[in-house]
Amino acid sequence: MGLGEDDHNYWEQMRLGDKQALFELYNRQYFQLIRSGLKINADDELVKDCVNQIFLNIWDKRERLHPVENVRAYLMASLRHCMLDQLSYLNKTNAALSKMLAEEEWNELSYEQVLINIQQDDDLKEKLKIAIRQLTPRQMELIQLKFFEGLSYEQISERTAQTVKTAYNTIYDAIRILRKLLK
Amino acid sequence: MIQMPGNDFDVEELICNESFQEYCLGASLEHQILWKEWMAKYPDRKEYIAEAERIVSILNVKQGSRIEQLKALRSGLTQQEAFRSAISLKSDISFKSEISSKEEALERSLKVVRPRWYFYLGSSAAAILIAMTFLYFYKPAFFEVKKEQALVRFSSGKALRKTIILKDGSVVTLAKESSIRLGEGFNSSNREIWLSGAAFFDVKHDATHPFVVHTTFNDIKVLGTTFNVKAYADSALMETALIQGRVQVASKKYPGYFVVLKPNQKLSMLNSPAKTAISKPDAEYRISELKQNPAAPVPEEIAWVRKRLDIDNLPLSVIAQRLQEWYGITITISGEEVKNYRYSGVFENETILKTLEALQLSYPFHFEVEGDRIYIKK
Repeated sequence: MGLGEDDHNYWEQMRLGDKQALFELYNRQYFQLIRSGLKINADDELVKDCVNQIFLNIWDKRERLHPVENVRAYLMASLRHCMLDQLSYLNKTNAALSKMLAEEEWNELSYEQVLINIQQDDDLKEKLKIAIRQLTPRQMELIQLKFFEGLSYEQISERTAQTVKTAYNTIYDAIRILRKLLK
Repeated sequence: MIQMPGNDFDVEELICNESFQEYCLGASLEHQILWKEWMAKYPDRKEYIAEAERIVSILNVKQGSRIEQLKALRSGLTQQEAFRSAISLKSDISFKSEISSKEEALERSLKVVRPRWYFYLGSSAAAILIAMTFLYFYKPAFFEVKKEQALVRFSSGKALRKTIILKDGSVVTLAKESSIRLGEGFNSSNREIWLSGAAFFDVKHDATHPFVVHTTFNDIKVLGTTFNVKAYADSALMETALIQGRVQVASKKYPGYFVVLKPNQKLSMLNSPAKTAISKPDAEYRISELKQNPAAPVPEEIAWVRKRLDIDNLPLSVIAQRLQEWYGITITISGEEVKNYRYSGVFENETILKTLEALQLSYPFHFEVEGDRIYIKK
């Protein structure tokens, strides 16, 4: 059974009123939703609120929901709508921004941008900018795969065609540099 | 098997540890338990651990803890439901003046059009505030557990089943000739009990306060889950079967040895008489999958405690009698009106609390729980 099919089954169970199925969907989709939300807007509180919001809404109107072909795509779209609503609510004057975001081809933030934008503290932002410049592109790539995408060392080694040990060492060296610079 | 670092760990090593990263993301109960325990062992290295956590959180761009967020979602749902039932309580009072049985159907259809949950579509902070206000005024007495719980020991004796609802909201059903003893000052933040015999547990979820079941041979630690334990002192076999959630079973005989069970797994342990030179934990502990029999949806380990309950337009007094006999818990109803509330429905494999909560949805009443007694009133 494919992952999408599992989601589909949980979705159907949830529509019948099984709360546990709702939690299963939540656990399965949480990190994917958070990551794609952060790429739209690097405000972690907003993203987390919206993720929980869409699950509350789904549960609330479960009896009126229809079967969904692609649950993940449905949730992603709901998340985007929720974030846009919240953003335009928070910043009514900036209608142009939300209009731009509402169109399909908005620019996703890169991992480096999210890394810096997510921090409130200007001092830390500066330190991060410097730190990113100190790392090699390879190190940055592996840091993203490990800490943002949540891949295991094994998956990283497959994806980047190197041994697990090399992948680990590359990240370890990068962490040593980061730790010094972020003190 | 997860390799935990020793006391000489360096911060970089900790940050690069995959299991530690999982812990920071709150991705599983298993890692949560392991690392909390590990941290408790090195109080003098607290700052280094905090530094590692900070860097992981910077690098994962504050993706947050899934366990914490799930907790927030659950409490959001509870508030949503409390708010709904507050509204339905109000509308019931206005409808209830003279209802003949024929008009019941009409009332049901009226309920369908009652005010919906609009507020949640807006800003969540405001919605929670509104829900809280309603809670304050119309707080439904779902879990008004009595403050004094004089008895700290419950035994089933010859009864086939005996159900006890603990102060923290967890439900324990004892099998024949089994007993539990509550730890001193048992409450929602101090959840420790001793079991002799067999019991089924439906533990109230609380990630910050583990629920511990001590048996002769093992300590079973859970966060919120349903599972079955068989540990008769005179039997050679001890079993733990897990239905939902995660549990950690720690051996008393082999300190430091433990097993983490996943849903639908069973841990069996042969209770060999004495510790000999050649005895090894791996030889005594065995994990197996629960048998999934398509004809019987309930695994045999918990069949003794689960049952299908068919109700077809029966008054609450009759339903309560059936529940009382099956679950082995005393149910008292006060008020003639409540006794005659009629319900229909099918309940499959539910605990007594869930059954009562489901009944409440179609026709609200209040219930209070005190150990092995349930009081129902209007």
